[in-house]
Amino acid sequence: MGKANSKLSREELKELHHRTRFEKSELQQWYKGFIKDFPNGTLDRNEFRKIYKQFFPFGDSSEFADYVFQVFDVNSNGQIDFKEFIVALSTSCRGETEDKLNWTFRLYDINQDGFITYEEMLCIVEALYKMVGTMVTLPPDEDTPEKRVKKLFDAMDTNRDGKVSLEEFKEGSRNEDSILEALNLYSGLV
Amino acid sequence: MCTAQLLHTRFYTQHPDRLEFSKTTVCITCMFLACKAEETVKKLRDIILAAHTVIFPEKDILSADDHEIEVLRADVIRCEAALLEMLNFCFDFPHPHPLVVKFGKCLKAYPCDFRRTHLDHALMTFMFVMSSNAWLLRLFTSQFFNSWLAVTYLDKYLGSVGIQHYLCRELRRFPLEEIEFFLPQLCHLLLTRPDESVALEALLLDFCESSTHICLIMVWYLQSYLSDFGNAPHSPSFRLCRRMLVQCQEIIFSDETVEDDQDNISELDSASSGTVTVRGRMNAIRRLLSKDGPLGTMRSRLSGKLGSRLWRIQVRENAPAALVGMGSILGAVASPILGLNAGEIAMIQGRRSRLDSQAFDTQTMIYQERAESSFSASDSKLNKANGPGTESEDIEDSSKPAQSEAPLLANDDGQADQSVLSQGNTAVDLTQSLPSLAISRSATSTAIMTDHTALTLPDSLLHHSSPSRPPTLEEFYQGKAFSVKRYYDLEKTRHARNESRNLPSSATHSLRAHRQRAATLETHRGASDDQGVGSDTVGRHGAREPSANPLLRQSYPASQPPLTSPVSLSFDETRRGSGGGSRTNGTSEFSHSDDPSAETLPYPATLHRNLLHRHYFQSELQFVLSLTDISNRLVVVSRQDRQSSLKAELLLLNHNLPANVCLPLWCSAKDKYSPHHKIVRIAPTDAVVLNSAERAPYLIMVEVVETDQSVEELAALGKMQSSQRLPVPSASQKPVPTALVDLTQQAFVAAQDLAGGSMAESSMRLNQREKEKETSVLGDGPLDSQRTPVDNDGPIDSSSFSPSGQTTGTSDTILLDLSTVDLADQHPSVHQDSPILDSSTVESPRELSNSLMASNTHHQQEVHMRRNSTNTEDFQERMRTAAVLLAQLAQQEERTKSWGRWQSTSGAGNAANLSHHLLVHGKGGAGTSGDIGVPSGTAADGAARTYTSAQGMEEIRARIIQEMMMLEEQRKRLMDTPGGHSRHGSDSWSTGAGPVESNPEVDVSGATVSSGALSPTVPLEGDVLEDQTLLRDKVKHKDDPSAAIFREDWDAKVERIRVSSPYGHLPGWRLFSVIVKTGADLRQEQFALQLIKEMQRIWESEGLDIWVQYYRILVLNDSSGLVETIKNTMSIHSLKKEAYSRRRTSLDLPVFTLYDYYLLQYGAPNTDSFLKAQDNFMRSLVGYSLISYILQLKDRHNGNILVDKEGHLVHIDFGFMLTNSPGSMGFEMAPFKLSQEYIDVLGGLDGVKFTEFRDLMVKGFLALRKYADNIILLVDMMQKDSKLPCFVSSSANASAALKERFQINLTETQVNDYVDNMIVSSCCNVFTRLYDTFQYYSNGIL
Repeated sequence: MGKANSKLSREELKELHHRTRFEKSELQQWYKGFIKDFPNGTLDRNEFRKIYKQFFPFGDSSEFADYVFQVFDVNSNGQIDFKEFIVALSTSCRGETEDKLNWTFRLYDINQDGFITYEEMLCIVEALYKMVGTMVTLPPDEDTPEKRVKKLFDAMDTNRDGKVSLEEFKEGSRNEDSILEALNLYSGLV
Repeated sequence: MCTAQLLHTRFYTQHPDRLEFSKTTVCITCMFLACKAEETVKKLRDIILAAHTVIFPEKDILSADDHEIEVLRADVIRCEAALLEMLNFCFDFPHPHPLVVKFGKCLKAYPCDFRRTHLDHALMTFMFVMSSNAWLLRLFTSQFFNSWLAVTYLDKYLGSVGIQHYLCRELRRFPLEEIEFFLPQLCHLLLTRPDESVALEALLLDFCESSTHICLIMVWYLQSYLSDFGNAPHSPSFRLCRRMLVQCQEIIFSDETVEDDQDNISELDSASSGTVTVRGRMNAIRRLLSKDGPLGTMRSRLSGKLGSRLWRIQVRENAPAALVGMGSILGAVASPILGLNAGEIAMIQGRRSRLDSQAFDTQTMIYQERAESSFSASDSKLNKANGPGTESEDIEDSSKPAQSEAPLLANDDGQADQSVLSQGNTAVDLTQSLPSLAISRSATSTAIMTDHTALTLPDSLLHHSSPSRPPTLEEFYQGKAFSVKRYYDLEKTRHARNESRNLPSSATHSLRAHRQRAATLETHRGASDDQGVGSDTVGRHGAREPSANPLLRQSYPASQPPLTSPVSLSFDETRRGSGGGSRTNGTSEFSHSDDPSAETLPYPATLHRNLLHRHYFQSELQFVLSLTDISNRLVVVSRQDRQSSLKAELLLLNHNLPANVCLPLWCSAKDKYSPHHKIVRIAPTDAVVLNSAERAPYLIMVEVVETDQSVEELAALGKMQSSQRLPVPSASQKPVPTALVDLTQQAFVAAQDLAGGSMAESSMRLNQREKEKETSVLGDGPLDSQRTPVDNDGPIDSSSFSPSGQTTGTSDTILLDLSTVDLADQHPSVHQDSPILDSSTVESPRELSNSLMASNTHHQQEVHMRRNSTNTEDFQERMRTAAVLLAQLAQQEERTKSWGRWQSTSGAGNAANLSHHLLVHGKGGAGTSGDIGVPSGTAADGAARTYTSAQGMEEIRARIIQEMMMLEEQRKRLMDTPGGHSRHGSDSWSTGAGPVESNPEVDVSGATVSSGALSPTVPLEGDVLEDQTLLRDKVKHKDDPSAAIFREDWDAKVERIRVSSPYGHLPGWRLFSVIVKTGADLRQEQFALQLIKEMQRIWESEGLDIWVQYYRILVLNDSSGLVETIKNTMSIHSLKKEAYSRRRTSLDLPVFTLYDYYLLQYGAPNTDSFLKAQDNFMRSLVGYSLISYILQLKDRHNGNILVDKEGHLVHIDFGFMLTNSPGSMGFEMAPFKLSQEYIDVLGGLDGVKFTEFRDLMVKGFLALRKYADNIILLVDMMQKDSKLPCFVSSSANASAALKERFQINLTETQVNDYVDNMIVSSCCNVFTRLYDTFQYYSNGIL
């Protein structure tokens, strides 16, 4: 780990400071942490999966990890670099709810056409259930992915066209306290 | 079986397509192969037969030559080949799944039981076939999951973050007591094998939050571990330990509040200043959170339960965790429940920075920063206190979230600053970043070094440090508190409360730092206006005095526990505090206790509660610290004197009780705010120093009251009670002994009224403290640095002395002493009188020598006068009431003793005469005035000896007085021996007087004198003993003063103490008997007892009436702890000894066995009482025999085996077990101790009882076998990287050997035989006898 590697350059710092809601010192700290885990500055899909596997040993986390990876990998080069990471982190912990929802929408809109179809939602929910579903006892009305997706669509798809637009998504999420709560997981803590 | 299952699983996982073999065949093959692999070869045919009966239970058992078998056999052999091929002929099966066994057991299937296992097998196969860790989850969610399993897997899957988190979450669901049981293991696991997962850390911290006791216990554990790891400060273990300790302290000292009081508190916070901003910010965040969305369950759990400390729950620079966390945020919409669930793990995990290894430097840096900020904060606080300044708010804001920690660290870092300045030494930096070290008395050597350097810094720094450094700032508050009391009598109650709150916290930096905080809270609101410039300056001066103390303490932690230890310091403070208060108001001694609620009216209940809560922590820590300090100080006192020293110490301690302290293991308080029991008193007369060569453990009787009443109320009650009794002794000339005990107690209470007296005394102590500090500087530092501190001392001394500067002629004192003697002489025959008598007798020789010394130097006289001034003050008081006289006496005695102790301590501790002389000299110097700096400078030279000797006289004399006093006490105890008394009385006088008179002429070093003083003691003792006509007394007295204590029936003792205690009438009054031990690591004892407790539980759950005694041990650090005593027990050794001594007089048979004892105690062999006792004996013998075998308890001599009143055996002292044995001699070869006398008690080998014993042994062993995993787990978890001697001494794998001993593979009938064998081989085992003989000859244990 060379010296150049362990610190952000001035320009990078400036850029990131501008793009995120982090202080410069915080950026440096996070960068150090990031480099410590990923010495070459990026992580690929496999590493990403491994992390998830470690955190969720009881289920199959690979699918969900892949979906999440796509969200992080903004430039779709198969790698997550620090910039992508820190921008996401900034959004997730210091962003407004609006930002967070915009960001979150990208997970569900797998083909990135601006709409979440029933199938897309089902994919994500299924992956999530596979990952952690066994660890938690779910309420009977959402104990299968199908039930959950149906419930979500009932709540979000206000115009009943079978797909959820970004607006619908935001609106629906805002109406759901538990979703907001989960979105604010990191608020104020990072 | 496991192997078979493994094979089976592997076979099907690797070759799911191989269907040419029937499943049955594969099963059988696996079984067969497993048998081979495990080298328990069974015939194939047997296996097939067994399998057949299992599979087709309805069919007849196949005959041996059945065709079916042949077919099967062929199949199996073919299958075996396939299997082997698959395995690559590798039979190295790691058995990661004792779970299989466990699971099987849950299903009530024994490993050897083929029929049952079939079901099990099927289940297991099914589970194994399932992918990944799903089977594990199934186990966890099954009904068989319990805390044992959880802990097992916590241990097993250490590396797996997810599993750890899951298990920890599960563990939280179990009742706290269940987890508390595992606490040693969990701590050990956490600390010895730090890994990726933060789950366990978070879990333990959670527990700390929820239970004050656990928190305290954790702190103590951590301290002991910290010193274990102390030699490797870079190891992750050490860092983790340190971090944990810091966090625990955080919890302890945090201004933490429950979230429902948020608003209340935050208002308060902004009102009161100091460390509060953290919480303010936290609340802001919480409010922000609640604005965004209502606090969900998870959320509130996180922020409420874990929360409270932002920096603790703050997510750090942990990229993987952050990635997962963000992932779960992304998934939130899909399913908030699952998202949160996943996120929680990420959050907890994220709490630990991945930069941890680097964090060291940064941490230090941060700490420094914080120290700075806190410095400025406290500076502003200071301003605020002195004037109505409000600028502190700004600075608080700048000091960032971790500010609350800053005061904790400030001190250390302040020092670090100094040292860094002077040395630039990074090592210093390193140690100073450990705030824990301030608290843990077991400071590492580096810390000591640092302190040394801090001490030896050039004077400029010392000067520099006075007003502007954080430590001094903190002292300032102390000083201010004092000065306020001295000069301003306003706000008395508030300050008294302030004081009482502050009372126990002076010992350590952090404690003091905290006190400062508390003080700030108080003073800000009420008393800030009252403090003028005058208090300022004096406070500044006064501040220097305690600051010397901690430094000193750390610089001499081992060799020389100075008198000015925190205990006395804090006591001084209390006295001074209350004394100051009472100067204007005679009744104000308890004025602070009149109505605590009234005092706290300005504060909402929650804050008050929090204050109390924090106060409890401090007091508790301080209390145990003082207990161990006493023991440490006792060590340096000669053995004969220990008893009286202890008494004196405890009187002093009592003085500070009742207090908000409890005995954590005994206390019933569960949750955070439920009332703890309160220790109201330690019966001083019932305390006894135990027999020990190099250590000084002592036994105390702790009186507690379980009540909601506040301490103040209790104190008032106690006072009331004792004042009711007061007239009794003063009116009648022959008071009952119990009342006298009371009186001494009362006396101490009354002593507080003596404002001037206590002032003088405290100033004397202050004086000493200064000297101590000086000495350390002189001793350690370059010689030329001496002058400055001395110069500093001058003004301080004078300023602190001036208020108490009433000096009177010695004649007054003599008068006083005479009357003292008079009064005391009126009841000389009462045993409990002795301390009082002693002090009276002490007075006279002191006066005698006083007059002798009249020609001596000015310094001496001054010191004397100061001392006498106390007397004068007291004298006036005494005129008023007889009780005050007694108070005076006790106080005097107390003081003299502590004087003597201090001197002997210094004498003994300082090998070098030089430092002793310097000490002496420093004292003289401080005694006079500032100009003494010059002589003290010369004193530094080695040649200064002669010069100082004159002043040394004073010291020496005091020491001799002490010796004499002790002697006197000794003699008093023997007073029931007629004849010897008077002669030896005069003896002691003359011998005592001898050195006194000879002193002025002789220029002797401290060491010589001390030996001179001691030497008459020894022969004298011998003389007295020779004169004894009753050998029994000799035996009892000389060797085992504790025997008498243990002899007394517990209930009777409780009743006696209850009657004598001023608190005895209170409803919740209870008595605990506790041994305070130092110099020994009690962790192994505790571990052994934990195992015993588990075995006890096993037997209980199996419905076996096997008796063992569990007793509680509280580990305080790596070298001290509290041990519960077992009621109504005596060691076989001492009961034999007693019997022998009795017999020798009546010329009985020489041999006294346990059987004789039982006959003697319980009557003839056929009486009911004997039979009952015999039965009890048998049941306990079973228990301890099995334990001895399983744990390989060694060192089982009769001194370590007790017999209780009902005839139970109780084993104690588990210093040798599992792998180690005393001296590695391997003497005790027998599985357990079963000597002839035991068999005799059981009624011989053919007796009914013996058969019963045998049967119960078998049952007990089977029960243990059934739950062997539990015990193995406990041992296993403790084993790794353990520093316990039972693991260290041998390279052998303790837990493997343990497992071996359970003989799991034996069938029940085999077990029967095995136990029989053990009994036979133990029976009158030659080694057992040999060991007893050895112990007899080497240690005189009968």
